[in-house]
Amino acid sequence: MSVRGTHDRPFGLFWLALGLAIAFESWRMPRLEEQGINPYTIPGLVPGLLGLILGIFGVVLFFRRAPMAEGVALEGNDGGVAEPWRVALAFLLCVGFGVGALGHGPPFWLGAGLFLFLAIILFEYPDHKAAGTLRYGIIRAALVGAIGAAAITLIFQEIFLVRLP
Amino acid sequence: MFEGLALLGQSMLTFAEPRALVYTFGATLLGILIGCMPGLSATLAISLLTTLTIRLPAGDAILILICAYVGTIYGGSRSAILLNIPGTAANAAACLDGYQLAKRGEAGRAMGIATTGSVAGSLFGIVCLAILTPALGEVALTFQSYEFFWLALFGVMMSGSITGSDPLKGWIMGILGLFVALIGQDGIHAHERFAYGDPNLAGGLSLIPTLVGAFGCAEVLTVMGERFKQARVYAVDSILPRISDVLKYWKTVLRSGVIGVYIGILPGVGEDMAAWSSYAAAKRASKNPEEFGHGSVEGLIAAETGDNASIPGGIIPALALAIPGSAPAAVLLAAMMIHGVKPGPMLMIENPSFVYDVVAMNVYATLGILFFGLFLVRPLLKILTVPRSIIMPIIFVLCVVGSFSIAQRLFDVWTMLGVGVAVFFLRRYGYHPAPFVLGLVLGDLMDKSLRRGLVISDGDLTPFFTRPISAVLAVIVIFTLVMSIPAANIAIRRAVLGIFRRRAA
Repeated sequence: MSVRGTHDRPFGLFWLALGLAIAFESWRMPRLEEQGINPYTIPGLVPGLLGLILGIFGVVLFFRRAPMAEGVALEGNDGGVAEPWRVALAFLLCVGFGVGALGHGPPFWLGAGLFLFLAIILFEYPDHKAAGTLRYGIIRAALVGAIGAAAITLIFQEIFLVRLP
Repeated sequence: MFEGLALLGQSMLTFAEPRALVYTFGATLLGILIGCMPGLSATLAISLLTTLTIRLPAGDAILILICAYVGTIYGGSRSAILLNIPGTAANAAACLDGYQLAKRGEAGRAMGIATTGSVAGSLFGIVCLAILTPALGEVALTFQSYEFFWLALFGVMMSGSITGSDPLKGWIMGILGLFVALIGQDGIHAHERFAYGDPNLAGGLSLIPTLVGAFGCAEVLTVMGERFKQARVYAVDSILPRISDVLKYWKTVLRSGVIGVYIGILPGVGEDMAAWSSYAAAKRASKNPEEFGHGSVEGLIAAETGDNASIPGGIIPALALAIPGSAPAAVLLAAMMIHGVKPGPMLMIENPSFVYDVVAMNVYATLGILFFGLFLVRPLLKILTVPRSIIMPIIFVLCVVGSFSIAQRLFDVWTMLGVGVAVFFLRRYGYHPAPFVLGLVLGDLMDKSLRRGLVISDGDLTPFFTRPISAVLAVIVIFTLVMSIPAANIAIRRAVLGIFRRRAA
């Protein structure tokens, strides 16, 4: 579910701060005078302008009275209900796999297999527990994890000749 | 003209060999399967496949991407009709009548109509692609930095205005995308911007991992964070489309095709808007508007024709101007650049056969959706029964591998994750990622165009506002901005109404 309209003020401040920071850093950027470049081509010109525009938009967002009318539904927002524990678990697993596991020791196939197994079983745990099918769920998750990791490793490494992390 | 036809014939023959046909049908099938699965968008499909096809020859890789693009948009109608959940955002309009038809026991008929509408829309769009791209390319030859600056800005502003529910948030995302595109070496002096001595940042954030993060990782986090009810899939009757359904609504097909192509050409406005606009226009023109939303065949045809017609429509400006018409077209444009193709006004001079290759690829993709739509409906529906708790983790592993495969560096995986987490949060607060993608793709063009324009005019800003096309684009951008200010919007509307009333009196 989307949470919209009620957080415009803090976001307005955030965009203002980010915009000003970008503009300030662009201002500090070298003008390359020693290279004799045309002053209209200084590297900080466009990012500086973008920073100022972002800051102005932040101010408008902060001060505007009410959000605009809601229209087209967000992509992917198709009726699902976000649950905090699921969101937290998704973060933990994805960041853990992407930052923690990759390139830090375990081979890719093992990391991917473990990630798939844990993601599937943990997200399906409440349903399997309620239905009394936990053993089936564990076996299925392990199979999907093993087959999925093996297939991805094989396809990328042997067919697409990609070196895996 | 005859030269164009000869080139088109040659392109059609090029892709009529076994390997290309395997790629065509394989990629279209993959696209349909991805499209069937709610939550997986065309942008994600093309981003992931770009990473997979990075080592293939340019022609094969782009063929696969276009077939997957067409297949994904078409495949989304399956879940829209059977589950009342649009497979992609483009198919949301198809839910209204498609699902009602399925509830009446006419799911097969609805899918047949969706197939017919999609094929008709694609073919109409392809004709426009073949005719308009060279024409637009010729006009674009007169463009200078001033026009390209406004076109880039126009694309981002239009995308921001229309794709989300709040234009201001869309513009913020667009500006953010433009800024992120500027990180790394600048395109004129090769000076490192916002790198702070980090060699990874000095090269800039890679486009494809950033796109995979914005549309793949963010989507995976969104879907994995949500609990879904077990969907009910309705039984399927005969899927063969009735000729009477098609012939009866030829005007709707034509109108929706025109709207789809027009909206596709508008920079940054995607297939979803084409479907909704076609649907709304069909309802206004219909003799039975009360049936819309209650299982109207006309409504379903309009929505599916509109969204598929906008695919070639979105490719037209991508090829002729290097300005993508939609978020998936932006990824396609990036993929073309990665494969050494240089879209833009010079394309018709340097590589004219490529435009006709793209036309031919679209034709084969359309044949693919016709084939799978008519003959493989029931097996394809099996994908709808696969739980998302299994699909999404696999997609995430593919996002990781895809991001890594571009340059074999972990920094790209972290980029994908960072962008994905940021977009996940921003989406929850109403910030749509499509303008961000447009900004990302157009940032370099806008940066170079503004600075080159200023050099040519010696710092004089007037050419940005006085050259005819620049002036039109500038007026549209400024008008869009002004109209978004509620007080100005009301004042302008009152003034226009006042003028009309005085004339009427």
